[in-house]
Amino acid sequence: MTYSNFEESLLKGLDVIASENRLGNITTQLVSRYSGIPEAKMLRHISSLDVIVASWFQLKQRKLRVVIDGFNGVDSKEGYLQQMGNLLELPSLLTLLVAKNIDRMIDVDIIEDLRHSFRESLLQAIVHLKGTSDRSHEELAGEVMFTLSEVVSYGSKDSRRKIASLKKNLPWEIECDLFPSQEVIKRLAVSESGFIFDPVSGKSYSANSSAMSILKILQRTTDVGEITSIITDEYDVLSSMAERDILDFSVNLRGLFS
Amino acid sequence: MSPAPVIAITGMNAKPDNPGPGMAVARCIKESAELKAKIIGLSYDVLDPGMYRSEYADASYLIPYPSSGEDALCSRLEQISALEKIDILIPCLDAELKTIARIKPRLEALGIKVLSPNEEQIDLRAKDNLPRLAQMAGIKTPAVTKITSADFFHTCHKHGWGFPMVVKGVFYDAYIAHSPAEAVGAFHKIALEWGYPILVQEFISGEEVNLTALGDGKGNMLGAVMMKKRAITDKGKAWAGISIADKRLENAASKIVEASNWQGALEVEVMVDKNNNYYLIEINPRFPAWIYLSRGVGRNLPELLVNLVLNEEYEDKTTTNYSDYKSGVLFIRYAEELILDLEKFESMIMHGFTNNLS
Repeated sequence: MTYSNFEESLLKGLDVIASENRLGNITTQLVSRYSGIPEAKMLRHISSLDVIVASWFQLKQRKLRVVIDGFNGVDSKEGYLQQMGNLLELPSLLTLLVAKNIDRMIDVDIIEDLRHSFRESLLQAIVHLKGTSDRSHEELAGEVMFTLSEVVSYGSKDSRRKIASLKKNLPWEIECDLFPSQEVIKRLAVSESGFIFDPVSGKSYSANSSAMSILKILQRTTDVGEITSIITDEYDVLSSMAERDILDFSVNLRGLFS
Repeated sequence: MSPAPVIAITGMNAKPDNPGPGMAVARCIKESAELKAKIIGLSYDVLDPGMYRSEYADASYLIPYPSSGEDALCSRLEQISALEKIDILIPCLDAELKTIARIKPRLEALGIKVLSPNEEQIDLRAKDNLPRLAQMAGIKTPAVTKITSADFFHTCHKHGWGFPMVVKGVFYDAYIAHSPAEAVGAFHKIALEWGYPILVQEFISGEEVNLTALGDGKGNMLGAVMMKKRAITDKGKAWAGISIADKRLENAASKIVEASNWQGALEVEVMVDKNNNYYLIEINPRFPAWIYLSRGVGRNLPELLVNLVLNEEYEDKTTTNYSDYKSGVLFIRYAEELILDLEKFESMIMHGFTNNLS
């Protein structure tokens, strides 16, 4: 095997690792397994894993900039769906854009910068699309980002359904499961003290009074507008503020119960 | 009048990091409102604490290790039964179950009834049979292969195996290995203690949920109790747990019991991964050490087993009345010291017997 073939195999291995959302803990064993190059051989040819990861990330940065620029230029429904379709065909880039856990070998500041730019260009695309929705542009961008983050758990039936939905729908048409299913929410035993127990998983949680209020409403409805209206009727809070808190809380809930 | 059977229970060891289930089984029966049972503790070691706990064992006897053979065990049980008139034997340790299954007719001739799995059922739950059982249960199981050489760990990547992986003995012990070096260490450690072959199992990252129940031998599963571990010992045993109500786990276990006509106690261990896939990890053909939780949730399974043995027509109300099952009941295990008179210890060493009532 020549050195360039060897390097190419490692880079391909890292691509698959990223595609499977396994960038949280990049080890030599992992890279060895995914690249098909024995660990000992790998370590003989490279000074450290950081070097090869850095080189892979540089390639990915360039590609991510192209994706971000693509969304910046969107001015039609077809253009948006084309860009979204392209992104969804590149799972390794998607993981870099939305995955929660990224190994420290990958520069966090650059990742944060790329994610910020992506969100901004997505927001601009949504503004240009001038769709009709009662939700703000920021909220729609948030929902698209949220749905993309759910897609990175590859292999699940739910993930494939979300990919299909993102490929054919504009942001305000996406079926966004903001909250865990009603079945899950309703089975939770919620005590006045803020203690929450899930009788299926056996896990328990503690919630503050705001979270408790939302959770109790959620056991009746999952409509964000309705929840916002109940909260603003009951508490002295701006509708936009309440809505943001509800969306923030929904991310936590999905993380805990999905 | 309440029945007052004499019940012999094995597995009265209670090492904090890996306790046997015997003491917990005895405790469940002693706390039964229906039964006024006399408990005879059976142990292999003079330092098994359950033998000396007068609350749980009225009298205790040493018995020979399963490796001593069926005749030795049978004749010791005959001796003990001549003194105590044993009605029921509840075996609680994996290693003795096959021997007990084989001598069951001889025990019955002595008037000792046993409700435990037969040899075929015990073989069925062997670790290398898991794929077949998982198929019965309609759930997945981690990939598993038998090996006899540690060289496997240096070439396994060519066959799609990756680290971490679980290296297990056929009967006992399991280690999670993160590298070939760790795997080789685990391989030799297990081989030294338990012999060959060694099993290598795909590592499933997730959360473990367990179920214990009784099979009536006719395909019915009775009194399922489910538990999620909340704290574990170094050996992965439950140190604290909470009862749960997981229908999917219950259905999977019920299918295994139905397909195998399981008789007696069983514990089903399942791992649930982040995508909510259920993987069958292991089946134990006995009550688990956390069986006292069954009393806590209102489904006292050792009591139910005794009632089923005493009366084949016994109606199990716990299973039919599902709404009475309590999820969210916790147990927390703890260790304490038992103070023992030298006379009792001497009696156990010299005569293999102690009477806790005297």
